[in-house]
Order: sequence, then C-alpha cells, then structure tokens
Amino acid sequence: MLAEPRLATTGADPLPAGSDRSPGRAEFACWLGDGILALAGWCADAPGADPGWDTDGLPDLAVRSIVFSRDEAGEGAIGFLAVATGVPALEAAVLDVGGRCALLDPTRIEVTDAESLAWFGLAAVGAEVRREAQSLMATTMGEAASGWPASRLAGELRRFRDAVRPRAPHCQIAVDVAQGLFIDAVHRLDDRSFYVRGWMRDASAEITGLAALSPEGLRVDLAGTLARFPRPDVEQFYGVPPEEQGRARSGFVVHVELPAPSVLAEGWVLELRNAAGVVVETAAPAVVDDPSLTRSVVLADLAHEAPGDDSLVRGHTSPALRKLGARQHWSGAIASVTQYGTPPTEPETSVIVPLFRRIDFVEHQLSHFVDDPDVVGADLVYVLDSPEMADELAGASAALHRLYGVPFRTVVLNRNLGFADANNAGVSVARGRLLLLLNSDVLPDRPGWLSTMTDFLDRTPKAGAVGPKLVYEDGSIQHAGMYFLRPEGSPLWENAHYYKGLHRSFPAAAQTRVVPAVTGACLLLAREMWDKVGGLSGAYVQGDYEDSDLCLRIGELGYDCWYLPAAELYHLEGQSYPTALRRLTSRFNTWLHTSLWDARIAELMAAPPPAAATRPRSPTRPRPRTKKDVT
Amino acid sequence: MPKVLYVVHNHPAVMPGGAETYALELYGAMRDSGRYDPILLARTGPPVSRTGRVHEGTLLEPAGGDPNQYFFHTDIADYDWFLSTSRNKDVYTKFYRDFLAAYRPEVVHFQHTLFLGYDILRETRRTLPDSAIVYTLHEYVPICHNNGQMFRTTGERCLAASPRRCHECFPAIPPQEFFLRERFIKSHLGVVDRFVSPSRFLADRYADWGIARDRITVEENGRPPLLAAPARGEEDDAGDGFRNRIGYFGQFTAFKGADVLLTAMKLLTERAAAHATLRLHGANIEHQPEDFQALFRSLLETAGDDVTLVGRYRPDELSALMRAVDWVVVPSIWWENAPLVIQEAFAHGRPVICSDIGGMAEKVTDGVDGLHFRAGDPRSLADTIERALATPGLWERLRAGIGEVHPLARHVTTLADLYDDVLAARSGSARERSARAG
Repeated sequence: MLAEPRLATTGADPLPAGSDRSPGRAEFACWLGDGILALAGWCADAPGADPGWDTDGLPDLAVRSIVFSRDEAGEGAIGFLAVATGVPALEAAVLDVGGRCALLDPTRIEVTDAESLAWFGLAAVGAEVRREAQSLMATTMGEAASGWPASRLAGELRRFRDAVRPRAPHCQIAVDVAQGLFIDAVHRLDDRSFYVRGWMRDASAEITGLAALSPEGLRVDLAGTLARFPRPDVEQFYGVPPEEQGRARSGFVVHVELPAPSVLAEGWVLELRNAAGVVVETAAPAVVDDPSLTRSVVLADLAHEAPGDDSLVRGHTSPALRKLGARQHWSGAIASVTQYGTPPTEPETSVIVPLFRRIDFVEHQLSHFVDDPDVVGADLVYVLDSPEMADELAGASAALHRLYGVPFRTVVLNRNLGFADANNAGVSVARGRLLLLLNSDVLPDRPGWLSTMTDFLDRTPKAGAVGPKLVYEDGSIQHAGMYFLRPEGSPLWENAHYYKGLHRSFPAAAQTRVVPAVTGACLLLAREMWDKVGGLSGAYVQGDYEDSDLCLRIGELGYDCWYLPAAELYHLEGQSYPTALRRLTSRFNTWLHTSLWDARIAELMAAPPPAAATRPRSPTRPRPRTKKDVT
Repeated sequence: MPKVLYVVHNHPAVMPGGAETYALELYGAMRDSGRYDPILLARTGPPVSRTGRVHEGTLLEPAGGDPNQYFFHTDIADYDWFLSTSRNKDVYTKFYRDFLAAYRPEVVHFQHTLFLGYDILRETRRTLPDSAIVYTLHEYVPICHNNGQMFRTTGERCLAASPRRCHECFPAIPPQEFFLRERFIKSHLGVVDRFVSPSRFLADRYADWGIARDRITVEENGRPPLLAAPARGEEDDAGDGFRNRIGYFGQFTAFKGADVLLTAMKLLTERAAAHATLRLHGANIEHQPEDFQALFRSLLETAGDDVTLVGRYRPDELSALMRAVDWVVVPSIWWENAPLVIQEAFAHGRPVICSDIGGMAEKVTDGVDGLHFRAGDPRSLADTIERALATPGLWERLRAGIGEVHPLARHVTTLADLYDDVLAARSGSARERSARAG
C-alpha cells in the first residue's frame, strides 16, 4: 500500500519563496515497496554550497545516492538518484546527496512509477551512470522481507532495470557470427547465490569480459572467476574439425554470489565483451529452483575438471554444494517419532540405525537383538530415510514388536537426508549417555558385543570412539580399523580399511589398538563427545567420508579411535556398481575431506604404529611369524 | 615357521585343471610337512568362473573356509592377452601389494601367471625385496603366443620362437611387437630366483629362449599316494586274458591328437589284425574349432563298436575308469610338458603308448614302461598298438618296468630345501651388500 504524500506540518512554512531557483530539489518520487522510496532530482554543482534557504527544523532523510552531470538543467547542475528505506511517508526533508543538499518538498514532487522515474530522472545520461543507477536500486533487495515484499520490490526493480539499462545487441547463434554466447541454465543455490553454466566463443578477438545481470539489476563480473572446459558439441556446431574440438575451452560454469538477493526467475542477462570492444548479450532461461536437480548438475559438471586441477571444485562445486546443503536443516525433516513397546528406563546406550530402502533388515536385526539383553535394554532408534516407505515400516514395526517384544522407536523423516543427517536426526531424539551408530545391514555374530564395546569405551582413558571387527558373509574382514592412503601422484587422501578381504582369523586383525579412524557402520561414542564435535558433517554428499571426518574431529580434541576386535559383527555390504554421477560425487567428497583434513591426516599417517601396519617395511630374514611381524 | 605363498591362476574348486589341482595338493602337503606355512592365492573370475567379486574395496575372497586360502578377483584387470599384463595396475600396486604386506611371506612360489600377468613377479620383488621368488614352468606361454603350445599356426611343431617366426604365425602382429613382448616378459622373469621345470625338455626350451640353465631346477611334480586300480582280472572276473583295452584321458583337441588315435583305430579295424577296443575319457569337443569338431565327430561315427565315448569325468573317478583299461594312449602332436596323465597311468600300473616327442618321450621310455610311436602318424600308432596286442608278455614286461611315481612328500621336501637354499643365497648376498655398504 503506497503512503499518501503529505506535507510536514511542523512549524512555519520553511520553504523560501522562489524555491524553484533553489540549489537542489527532488523532482520525482517512487515507492518501490513498503517504506522504500526512490527519488530523482538535481542540485547545484558546488559541494557544500549554501542551499540558499532556511532548512532549520526540517529533518534529514538518510539516503544512498549517486550523482551525475545533468548539464541541460543549466549552470552545470548535477542530477541525483537516491533511495531511502524505512520511510513511513512522503514528508518534507533535507537529503544529503554526495555532499550536496537537496530539498524534498512533497507539494512539489511528482510521485510516479519505477519506469517513469528512470525515463525522467535519468534522461540523456550515459551508459556508465545508468549502470550505477541500476546497481544502486538493486541493492535495496537486501532491505525487503523475504516472500511477497521481496517479490514486489523485485518487480519494481525489474521494470526500472529494463527502462534504464544499456542494451547490447542480442547474440545470434550462427556459424558465420564470430561471437557466441549461450546460457544452458541458471540454478538457484540460495537467495543470492547461483550456479550458471553455458558456453561462449569469439572467433574474431579475445574475450575480455563476461558479466551477468540479475533481473533486479545487480551486475557481477564473471570473467575472472569462470571455470572453463572444452565443449565439443559447440565446436562441432561451428564446424571445428573433430581432432581440434577438445582444444578450445568454450564451456564454462561459474558460482555467482550477488551482493543482494535476487528472487525473480525470469530476466537474467549475460553480456560478453571482446578485446576489439564488441559487446553482445543473451537472455538466460528461467532460473532452475530445484535443489536435488541442481545438486546432480553441479556434481556432473565435475567431470570437466582437468586432472591435477582443483579450481572448479574449489571455486564452484564446493561453494555451490555447501549453499544447497544449508538451505534445509535436517531438524525440519522429522515427521514423526513412534514408540513401540515400553521404553527402557534410563537406557545407557542409544542405538541409532538409519534405514534406507531395505527396511527388511529391521526384522533380521530384531531376530538377533531379542537374544541379547544388552540391546533389549538399550534405546533402539530406527530412522527411516526413505519417506515413501513410512506406512510399510509402521505396519512392520507393530508386527515385529508383537513377535519379538524388543522395544524400539521409529523416527520417520519427510525427505531423504542421507547417512549423516539421518543419524543426526536420530541422535536428536536419543536418550542414552552413549551412542552407537549402526548400519541396518550390520548383524551381530553373537550376543554381548554391545557391552563389550561400552565397557571398553568407559574404562579406556582418552577413548573417543570404538569400532568393532566387521566381517563379510564369507568370513573375510570388512573392517578392522581405517587408515588414510594417498595414491601415488594424487594429492587426495582416500579412506582405506586395514586387512580388508583377509580371513577374520588373520592374526594382526585380532589386536586391539588405536587406529586413525573407525567405520561409521558400527561406531560407539559418548553423547557428550558427539555434542562437542557437532555430530556428523552434512557437507559430504551421500555418505563417503562422514565417519572418518567425525573420527578426525574426535582426534583433534585429543581423543583416540580404538579398534576393538573382541566385538565381532557381520556387515553385509555388497559390491556397488557406481554410476558416473556417483563416481563424481565420490570425487567431490574425497576432495572435500582432504581440503579439510590434509595436514591432520598427514600427521596421523606419519606416526609409525598404525600407519605402517599394512605398508611394506624394510626386508628382513625369514623368521618365525610373531605378532610383531604382522602388526 | 617361514611362510610360502602359492600363487596360481585358478582354484580347482572353480575348475579342476591339472596345474591348479597340483597347486592345491602342494599347498596341503607343504602344510603337513611343517617346513613352511603355506598360503594359497588363486586368481578367479570370468572367463573361468561365472561370477565376479562381491565386495567393495578388495579383490580377495576366502576360499574353502580355510583362513589361508584366497580367491583373487581380477575383474578390474582389463587384461592384455598379448603381453599377459593387467592394464589396471591397481591389481598389483594396490590390492596384491596390500596382501603381500599383510602376510609378508618369505617365499612366493608362482604356479602360473595366466590372467595375473608377469608384473605380479615385479610387484613381489618390489614389496618383498628379500623374498625368494620361485616360478614353476607349466608350459610355454611366455615363449609362445599361440597358447603357449610351441605349435605353429601353419601346423608344425616349433622349437624356437623369434620375433620373425612369431610374426609368421601371426602376420597381423608385426615382429617389433613380438620383440617388445619377449623383452617385457623377460624383464619380469628376471626377478625370479629359481624356476622349477617338471621336465628336462621344458627346461631346455626355456634355456634356448634365454633363461640361464642354472636358474632352472628340473623337478617333476609329486603325486599324492593312491591305491592303484587292479589290473583287469586281478581282483574280479572281468579278465578275459586279453590286454587289448586302450584308454584315452584328456581333452578332445587337435593338439592332444584325439583324431590321430581315432584314425589309427579305424586302420586297425580295417586290418582286422588285432581286436583293440578304445575308451575315450574327456570332454570339451564343443569348444574346438568347427572343422576339428566335424572331423572328430565323423571319425567317431564311423569307428563302430570298438570305440566307446565315456565322456567327461571327475578326478575322483579316475581310479574306477582305469580298472577298465590295460593301456593308456597319449597321442599329443604338441610337445607336452610333463603330462599328468602319464603319472596317473603309471601310478595305476598301466603302460603308456605315446608320441615320440617332447615331454612324453622323456617320461615314457620306449620298451621299458611303454611304447613310442611317430607323433601325428596314425599308421605308426596303429602298428604300435598292433604290436602291443600281438606280442605275448609285452604288457606284463612293460608293467613291471614302471618305476615309482614321484611321491608328493619327497617333492615337498625337495621344494622346501630349494626354498631354504634360495633364502640362504639371498641373505648371503644381502649380507655382502650391507657389508660393502658398511
């Protein structure tokens, strides 16, 4: 609702006679939104000049402004454009525009719309000024409340931008046109961050500039930050011979961060400039606002990172994924918590089991837990990370509780969160002093494993986390502690498992010891420790390094991760056949893990005892096998 | 106890071939001997087995519930058949290296490197610089690209490979490639401390090819003790007084000379001189080239009642099958090496009629424990069978001439001694090296 302009009523009329000859005055006003006022006018070209009238008693109105030469007003007058926020009504006031003084007189001002403000307030000014004007206006996007007020403001700004902005010729995509600029997509990451992918080429001169213009008029220079890569499809279109198609790097992606929010889907413009001064522009398609689609696109683009380089992942992939991840917190995803059976009184340990698709594992676990008093007395929490199976789980839970009588709770999520946040959600309802993170495809070998682990954690000084021996269905070792391995020639550390694939009876795997990390498939730690390190990190995509990340944070606080073979469970992890996208996801996770922990891991792996365990050592004479040999 | 790792290209639980069966027998006998603690690593996966690996992040899978026997999956290998190497070197430098580093065997004894690649020798030396590396030669694969048979694609036996001669066999592959192949394989074989050859003939071929003769120990594979099948009529009433039943045990392939044998039988039938009957034990005719299949089938169809196709058999059926025959024929037209079937025939007291070449001629002495005929010549084989059946007392004399089949227990002792020697020599030279350095 626009406020009615009205004259200030305080005191005598402060305005001198013949005030149209006064040194400065706002001529046009436009309400952009509630309390957001744009003003255009002129003042004398003499900073600090006496306004020539008595302004006593008139309030100052704080504005952000630009000033520009407006010679046609006579005697070297300058024009101004100003915006003020938190303005309740159009009242008489004095504006300070770039050290000059201008009067706002509600009786002598034309209240108009954004388009007219641009036409009349900025008549006949140059491109540079119009760009500044656009930017000044667009930054008010930060002032409006999100939702409807922001949309309304954005609409006004879009109209202002389109009236004021200098236009370059539209870029035609044709084989005989030297310049080519095309935007495949603009993806929204959050209210002010975007991920833009497209391609550009110029057969006539070097490209010296690429700028993006938001619908609201914020302009960002992208040329310095782009990640470039070959686009053989583009080269093919332009008739480049196949053997040369990989040479030009016409493709690009870029993570764009605006100084203020942008909410409009339509209206993005990109502009290319070359060394010869040629400028062309192209309109982008509507902004994609679908976080899961955007996540896939961003990860798939990692395929364009050249080997040995990490500028794409560092400058674009990682910030984009971080922002996508921050859009929705897991705490909003808990749809329901249901108790089956009588909850144990003061349970010592909470067992948190995320369920993804295979809810049939619940039945298998319960059929073993029922014979294990440790687990029956624990706070058992199943977290359903497959929302579409909520009804199925509810039915199965009731039936299985009737059969086994093992009390447990189910936490149903309203969307898929992935391993880390499903656990975080589960822990948020946990009641125990200790937490056992357990995968649904882990089955105990025999009862007693839980107290074996909890006793060990409680009686071992500085123990931060404990992991058991996990074996495959064929009796070979799946987990006997984890370490970090940097393949020759790679800057990135990968997680590796000690003695993986060897028989469960392999002597070295029978030794209780401190290891660099333990698997999250079955990991015990204190709730207090969990809170100290802040739970599992949601920064990784789909679960690769969350467990080692947790262990590294525990280690950073001076606590140890212990491998405890006295507790043995089965882990039915199968062979996976990763899709191309999954491999890229994994590449991202590996990069992120190393970028966070490189120094700490290097320090850990340089320490001889656990690190040297599976690496070759200096040769020795044959001798009887002793424990020393294999540890 | 020092450890010995046996690396073999297949596990008999997947497919019971000769080399892999022997490797498993050796593994068991070495364990029983108490000299070395054995570990078995058997390559597996397609095309030999139907299934690949099932676990992420490891190529290992325990075999047979034995904590020291493993399958080693090489599905990631991207195997290069020409060079016999895994293009994906992670097989060696990541997975095999981790396995070696975990067990740290003092001795690594390779039975076969097919599907594994020769680089596995190199990796062994790199990871365990002072280990003893022993390599048993099973046939001529390193020397000959034609399935290691030293049999030319033009149909003759070959005694010496060279880039030029190999190119003649495979005109599409330039001699330079064969030169590279030979150099590549020899560079890896260079890390081997001792080769074990089950026959002198085989050792000579490798010596001719350039492996120093003193690096090769001729030691026949040992056989586990068995209860010999009685001769016909000895313990039952199946005896008819004749020694006219001939047995063939082996694959039905052109190299094995099954067609030579069937042609000889046809000649004998035509001559009507001696009434020989033949029992064919074996399989895999369907995997042979079509023209050979057609030849074999037509010979079989026209052979009449004197030839019985018994077909595929399991190793544990051999004793029962031996009871029904008097002679064993080994008519291979390629050199052979030290054919298991000869040891088996001798273990059951059956004289052997074999081709007069290569490993067969070496293992069977003409007129002492068997008879030779001219390799690939059906008329010569027919003559020899006719003579065998028509000469009174010959069968008994040859049967009595069969010597002891090399026992596995003695074989294991020989190998353990050999491991000791190599380790002593290696530590001696290591001492010298460190003394020089000190």
